[in-house]
Amino acid sequence: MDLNLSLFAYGGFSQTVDRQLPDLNQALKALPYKLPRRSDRLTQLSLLGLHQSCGEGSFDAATHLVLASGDANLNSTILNSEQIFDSGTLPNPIGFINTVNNSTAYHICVTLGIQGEAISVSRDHCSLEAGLQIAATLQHSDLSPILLGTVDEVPNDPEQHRQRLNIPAATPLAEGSFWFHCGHPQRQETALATIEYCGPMRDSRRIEEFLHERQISHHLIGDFLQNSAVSEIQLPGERLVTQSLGHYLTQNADYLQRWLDQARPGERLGMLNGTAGSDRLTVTLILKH
Amino acid sequence: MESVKLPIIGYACASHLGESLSNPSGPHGTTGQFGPPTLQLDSTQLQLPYYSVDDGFDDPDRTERILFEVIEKALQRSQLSAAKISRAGLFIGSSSYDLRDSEIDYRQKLEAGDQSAVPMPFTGYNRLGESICRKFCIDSEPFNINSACTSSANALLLAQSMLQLGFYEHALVVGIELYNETTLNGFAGMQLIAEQRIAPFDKTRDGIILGESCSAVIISKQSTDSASLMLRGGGSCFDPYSITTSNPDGSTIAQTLENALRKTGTERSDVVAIKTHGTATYMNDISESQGILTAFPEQTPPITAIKPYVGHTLGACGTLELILFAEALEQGYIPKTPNFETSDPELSLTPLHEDLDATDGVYLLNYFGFGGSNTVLFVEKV
Repeated sequence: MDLNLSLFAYGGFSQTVDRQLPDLNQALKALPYKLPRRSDRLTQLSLLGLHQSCGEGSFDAATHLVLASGDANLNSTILNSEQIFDSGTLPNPIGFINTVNNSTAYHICVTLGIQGEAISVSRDHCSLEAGLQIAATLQHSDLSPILLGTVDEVPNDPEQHRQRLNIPAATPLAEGSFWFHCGHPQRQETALATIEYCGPMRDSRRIEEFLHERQISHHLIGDFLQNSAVSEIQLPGERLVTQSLGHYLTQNADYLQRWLDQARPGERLGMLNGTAGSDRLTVTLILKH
Repeated sequence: MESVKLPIIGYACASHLGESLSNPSGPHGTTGQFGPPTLQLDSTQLQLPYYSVDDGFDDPDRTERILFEVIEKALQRSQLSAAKISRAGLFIGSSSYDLRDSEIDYRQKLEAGDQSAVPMPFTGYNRLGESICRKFCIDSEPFNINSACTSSANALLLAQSMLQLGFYEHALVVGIELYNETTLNGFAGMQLIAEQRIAPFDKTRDGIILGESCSAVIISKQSTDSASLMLRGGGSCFDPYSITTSNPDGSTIAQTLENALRKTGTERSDVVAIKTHGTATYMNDISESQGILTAFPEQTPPITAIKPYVGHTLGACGTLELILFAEALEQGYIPKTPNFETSDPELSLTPLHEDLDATDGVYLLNYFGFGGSNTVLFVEKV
């Protein structure tokens, strides 16, 4: 899909999780927002990342929100399951409402005072890519700004989460939230970068040709593909060495922002990613201005 | 970008009543006969009403079985070639996806004393999407939309926008919400479950009855003479009033309706009838009736509700209610709203007491959800 989606600002927050969930309270106190009551960790992580992308800035009321997450409200859903199956009690209403994925989007919209469309989407490791495709669609509905956020949390009891993921006990986990202020190129601001393309491909030769044609300067292989045959493909451009913070489904957003920090105008990144249960690859092209 | 009309070229669904509201008895008896889930909690034992598709609640492969049957039928009816299916966009709307699979696995391991038991062993929302892609050889990437009760309605809107932009030629839109204890317990905890019946806009209404369903709609960018129903688009607005209910003054619902009328280039006088969200909760029916009266101040189209037939199927109600409503239009009638007996002076709106002849024209379908999500779809009977 040719997206032609402009990026005007970006920023984010992430952290590695070892044995215990790091406390977010100090960081939250520094935020300029009135924190929503009864919000869960996913909302808190979202606001911490959002602040890094906009500082004290305010938002146009018509701003649309696209919130992309691999596991979304996993912790709230786990708590509900434990209440029902372990404790044999009805879940408390607030806990249940927080299992609804767009409860996080609700809290963000209310906190920022925005009232455009609010869409919550998920696609495993390619949730960022799903969000980019939706943002590129929304930009044609009107000229309102679009806030695209990615967020994933480590549920309480990281040890149990490693067991759930069937990964060794010492494997680091990570959580965080990364934000992109997007919109139509007709907007008056100067774009920092353009998301030119994002779409699926299966054939490795076709991917190689495509990236050659598009003259990429760098390529990036997502964490999910690091140990797969894809990492053996000879791709054009310099391969970015990525430093994974730990198991973190939307880490590509972090990698993309790090590349944007370093890239020179005219450089182009080809980002390859995949999802569990599929041999399809998602290719994203980003041009730095 | 003004919405264009896209033909609905195939659909199928599994619901308590099968595929038609005029089924006098669904797979499990007459309307209002409920599935059997009894919630065995330490603190209490609840026998809750529920509209079920079948009684295989504990079958480990139930989700995929129902899902694949429905999609297979919808694809057959669309007569799309395998090549076209492989390039179709895939859009899924649900609030629970395959949550039941996790519940079954966890409960079985707990009961067996298995040390590896963890709640929510299957994480993420992409498993069903990838299963559909593998089963039906779809090359595209799934969009898994979760906006509570508007999930599959929003999936339809997104699909339509992406078809209009040329991202796809065809789209398969799936709404799925199957029985799970998390949802049923959650609504029970919120005391939103009605005791016996779901009675939208009735003075004695006392809440929702949940139901389950799986439905699939196929829309196309290519015009066809055979389609009798067109998707005209719609609109969606965020409602900041409360995380659980729309603004009771009706302002945000009216705004959603007005935006959608403008975006689709529809005149108020073109609207033949409105399928309401009609949950029969005290607050929804107040917000919705106020919103409709504000958006249609001069002549309010007839309104009706589908949930008394099949229950509230949450994230799946967008596609399910579109299909059941479309099927009724196809049979020549706008369905009445069962269980309505007493007008509520607070609402100033009454739903249809009797079926009405369905004429060609535009029909509005309302959907509202937790998390401030208000969505309206427009369909046109041609």
